[in-house]
Amino acid sequence: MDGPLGFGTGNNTTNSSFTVQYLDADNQYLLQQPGWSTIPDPLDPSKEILYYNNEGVGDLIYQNSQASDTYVSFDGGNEKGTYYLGAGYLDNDGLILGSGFKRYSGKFSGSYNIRENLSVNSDILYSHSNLDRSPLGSDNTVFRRFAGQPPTSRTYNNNPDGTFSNVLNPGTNFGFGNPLYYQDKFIRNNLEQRLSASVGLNWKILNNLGLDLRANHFMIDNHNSAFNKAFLNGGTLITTRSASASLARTLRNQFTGMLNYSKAVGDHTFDALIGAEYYNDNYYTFSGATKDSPTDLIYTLNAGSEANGVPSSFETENAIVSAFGQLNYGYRGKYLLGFTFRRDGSSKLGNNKYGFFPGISLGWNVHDEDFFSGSGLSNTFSKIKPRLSYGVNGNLESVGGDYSVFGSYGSQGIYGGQTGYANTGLPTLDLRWERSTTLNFGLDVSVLDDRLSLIADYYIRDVEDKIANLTLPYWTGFSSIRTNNGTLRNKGLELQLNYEAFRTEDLSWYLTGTFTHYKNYVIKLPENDNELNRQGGVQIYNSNGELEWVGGLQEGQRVGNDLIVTYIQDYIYANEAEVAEHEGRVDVLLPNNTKRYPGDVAWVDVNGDNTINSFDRQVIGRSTPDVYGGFSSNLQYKNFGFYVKTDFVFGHLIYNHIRGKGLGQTQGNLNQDAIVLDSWTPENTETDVPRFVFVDAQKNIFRGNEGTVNSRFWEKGNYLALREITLSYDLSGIILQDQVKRLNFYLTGSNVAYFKSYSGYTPEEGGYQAGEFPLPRTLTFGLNLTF
Amino acid sequence: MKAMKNIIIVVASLLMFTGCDSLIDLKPPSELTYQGFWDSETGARAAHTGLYGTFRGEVYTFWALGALRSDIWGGQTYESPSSTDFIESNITVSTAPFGGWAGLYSDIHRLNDFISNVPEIDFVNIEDRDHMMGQAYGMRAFYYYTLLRTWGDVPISTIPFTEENPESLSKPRSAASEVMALIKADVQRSLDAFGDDDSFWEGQRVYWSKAATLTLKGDVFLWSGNLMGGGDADFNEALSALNQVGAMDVELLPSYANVFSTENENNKEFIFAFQFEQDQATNFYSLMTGRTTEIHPQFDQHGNSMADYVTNGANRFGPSETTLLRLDDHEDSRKDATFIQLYTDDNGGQGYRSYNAEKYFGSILNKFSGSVDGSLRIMDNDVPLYRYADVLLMIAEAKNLLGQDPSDEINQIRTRAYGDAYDATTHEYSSGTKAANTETILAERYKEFVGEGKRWWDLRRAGASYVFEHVPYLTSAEEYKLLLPITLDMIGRNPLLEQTPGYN
Repeated sequence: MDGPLGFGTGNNTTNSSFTVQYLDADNQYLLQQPGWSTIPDPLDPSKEILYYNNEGVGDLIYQNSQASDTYVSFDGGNEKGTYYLGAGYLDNDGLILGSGFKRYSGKFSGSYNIRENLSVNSDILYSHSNLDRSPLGSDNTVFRRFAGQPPTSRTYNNNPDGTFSNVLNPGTNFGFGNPLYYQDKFIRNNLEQRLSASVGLNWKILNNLGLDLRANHFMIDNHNSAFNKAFLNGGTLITTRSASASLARTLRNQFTGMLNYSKAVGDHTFDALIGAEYYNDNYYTFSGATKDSPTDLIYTLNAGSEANGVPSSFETENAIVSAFGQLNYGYRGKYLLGFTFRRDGSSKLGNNKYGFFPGISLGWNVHDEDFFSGSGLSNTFSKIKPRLSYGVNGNLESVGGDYSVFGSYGSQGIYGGQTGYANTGLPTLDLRWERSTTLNFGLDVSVLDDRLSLIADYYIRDVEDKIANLTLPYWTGFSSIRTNNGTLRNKGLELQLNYEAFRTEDLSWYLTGTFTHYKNYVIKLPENDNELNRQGGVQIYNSNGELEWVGGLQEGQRVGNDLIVTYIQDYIYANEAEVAEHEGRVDVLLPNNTKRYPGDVAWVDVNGDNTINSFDRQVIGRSTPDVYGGFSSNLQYKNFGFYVKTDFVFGHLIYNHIRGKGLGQTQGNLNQDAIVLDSWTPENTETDVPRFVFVDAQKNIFRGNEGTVNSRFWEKGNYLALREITLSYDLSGIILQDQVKRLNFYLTGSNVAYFKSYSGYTPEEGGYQAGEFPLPRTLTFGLNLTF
Repeated sequence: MKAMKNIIIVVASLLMFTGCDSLIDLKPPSELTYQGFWDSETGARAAHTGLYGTFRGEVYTFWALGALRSDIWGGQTYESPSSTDFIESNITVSTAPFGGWAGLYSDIHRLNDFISNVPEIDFVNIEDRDHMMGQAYGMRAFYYYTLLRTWGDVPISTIPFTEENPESLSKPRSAASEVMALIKADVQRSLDAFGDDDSFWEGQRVYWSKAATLTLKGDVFLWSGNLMGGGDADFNEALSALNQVGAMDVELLPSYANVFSTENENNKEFIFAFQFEQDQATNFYSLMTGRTTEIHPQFDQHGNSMADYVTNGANRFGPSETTLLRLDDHEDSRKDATFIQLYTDDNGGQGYRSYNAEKYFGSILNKFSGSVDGSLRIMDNDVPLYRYADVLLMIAEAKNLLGQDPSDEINQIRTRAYGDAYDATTHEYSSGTKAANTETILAERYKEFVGEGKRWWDLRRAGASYVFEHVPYLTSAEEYKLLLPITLDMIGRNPLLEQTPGYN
């Protein structure tokens, strides 16, 4: 407590990182300056502690951010061809100090009819952008550590007379310091160039038979360079001045050919399509670095006197070939029948490269039936369309790297001057395509002349041969193997309701509501030696005091990977008498298993054995929501438009680590959430917030490690967000009618407000939030002008 | 009809695409896979280097398992301390440390992969292959020895895991006696493969060698002799193995401090050391340094200011007061070589020749303090696993257990430690009772090997009563805690595993 810390008294009057110190004759002149005050020492009330209240220190990581987006385009054409030419400029300051995004973009597209039945077309898009990330580090570092600077820290050093100088104080070190000092020490430059170019040919071979050929080339070049100027780190001037540069290049080429045929015979219509595609994705990167440059003025590698690390390049590639087809049949527009198929082959698989994915769909436009229009129903219903579909999709997203099925031998670093390799991934040559088969029942209903419509879908999606990591016993040397891991089922309901409240010349008002609900179940798992072939999960007492497994994957149960299982806070021991009531209770996580103090948490002892251990954890909820939905309203009155969009989510739990870590003080010097004011003290005993102690010695916040958190600090994530409000005014046809085709002003507010109980900024993300980038609240003023 | 012909050509060429397997048969440009890896000597050599990269990756685990639960650490630190629960043997099933067998089976799989594939490969020079096999068997024995000493009964896996079918992979723990039999068999296979080749691989002691296997053999047979009923037969095996090491180009260096210096790596005292180099890998001893914020205002034990000490580490482990007091002999060169003690003042320029609890601030481990590169400290000391001092003191241990006089080896260690200050009248040891000799050897090993991950194993090898006598956090009522529990996750993955006795 007497060290030079955020709460220690070993700081000085001028340039220590923090300002806390004992008041004495030599430093009391500081009280003449604004912001300095004293409090009695809680440990020794005879002494006064002097400190500076650095209000707003946590906000130093932010900058006011503005964005402008401008786009200009020309288009035109005649019976021989068309063209489009556009250019744009976007400049967006980031929310965090030193971050931002700039982009210049251009687009050309054109088509030309060579012959009556033969045309060619081309699209070219180019963009050139600079993304400046925060030079301070990752989101976690910035939001939790930099934003967590205590209000006793010193942003500027003090002059000997007590006024502030303009010399920035670095703070503790570059991972936990003054953002204003470090912001210009780390130079980070980025340039990304994207080019997408395609050429296509369209040939009408016969009247009802057409051929489309298309070739597409897409390229991303991402250049990064970095330089660290000399900087103070914990009092030492670090002069390594490392400079690094890297390039990451992505090349994607795609060739598609499609033949389509359509035919109508009497009341029967046919559309058929057959095609083939080749897709190749190549990624290449290289990087190099130097260090010990003599100057802060050159940011490039050439000024460094020796290499920093080993230069490296790396390439990887994957390819897919596909054949696909489609046949649609219709009878008088009433009965619709469709077949599709795809056959995909991927380089990412070993012995089973190909997968075949068929689909079938049926639709019935009941409202077009004679019996329907003849009946009274047609007065009410303008549309009734039941739908039924069954389809299979292939998925390889979870297969991992481009070559991981072949078994990896990964680098083990350099030893004895050579790079060593060892088996780091098991070969899984028999891996198959993951198939999701979806059975969908749908119904479209419209009434009131299509003004009120409902689109409803109920689906059962079975993910078969699910590609997932299967945990292995540790003796195998691997913690998991990627395998076709049984069948999971996803059942859900999606509803969309549209209502056109007004439909007149001057006034239109359109309302939309959506609702989604789904749950995941485990249908089948590979045999292992566990009950229900369980994978993962944890063992806890159930309400009968018997041990049972929850979470993980268990046949016949819901997917439990999102279950939150933790120790339950019953109450806070208000005083010694309450502590004594639990005398002899063993808490296996405590340094002294039976020693508790007033202000500590009384945990729920589920099975009543007077021992608190991991089996006393309980399921308190899930990190994924039950229900998603939203409402939107679009009102147009004459030239004015007013649009509101909201969304809501219910049923998920969130833990706010920025708050928890501060309260647990496992890092020290971290700032506090205001909840600390509610924590137990001898005067404030009626509370549900445990006492505030350094490094959470009694495991009141974190149980065992920071991954397991007291139930008190899991919060409901339910929210309703006012996602967008747009007010627009359309002057088209009012002024300068001759020159201006369209003129439209708008004002948009995004992420305007949340109705939520969660203490953090981002209720969208369920689960353990270690430090999330908040969705910024933005205000956009826009102008669309078309000549 | 021309149109029809065109259509046929178009359709045919579309379908040709998908028949073309070569389009999706890609070879990785920058990665190695199972296919072809073991086809040549080059692959074997890449894997051989890889074994050491992997082995080096465990240096913290080996140190923590071998030292933390003893009486060496757990003292004052000036940043929040690490592993306090483990140091104080606060161990339950809920908090079982080193879950997943500390990850050691991942390394054993790589050794198994090496051991099963390398004999199939033709080498230009067959002696190289034999030497490599000797190294691999020796290292595998060391891994299983570490598992045995930590958990007792553990699963045995000696063939590489390649099973694609994930069903029925549960495997129970094998009895410690079977594990010990495997260790001894691997030691013998290692010695057979080395044959009469005493050389160090490329002359470097950062690779396993016949000397390393013999040292391990001594260690293993002392353990099985004393704790698993092997008795004198095992002690004799141990003694005979250890006695052979002396002839294998090893010696006690004249200066203790020089043994660990980054300037003097690959010295003849090292039998096996993990290699660390700047820009390749650095060791964990930065956890026993600290930050400038705390260190710069302090003074060392000689009263010198620490203001210029270059450091960028952390202070997570501090020596216990017992350690400071045991080393508190300024004539013993091991005192200054082992720690820089920090004091809050310079005692009027005098410093603190003897430990002063009131002014003591904390310690920096000096033994493995790396090298300074400009404004950075690089933790690049090679870290010995076995060195000749260890062999000598194990010879003393074997002799004592066999009722012979161990004083010669003890005195060799002391002579080197005291250097010019060595005074036979006070420093020379004469053999006492067996119990007295055991305590003396333990005490000598304590001072000799601080920071080298030995002390917990030393106490364990001497017998459980020595653990309870010296470790303040363990009593004979908690004898089951000598072995670690396994986590529920381990049992969940492998239902045939049973919890370590005493923890349920």
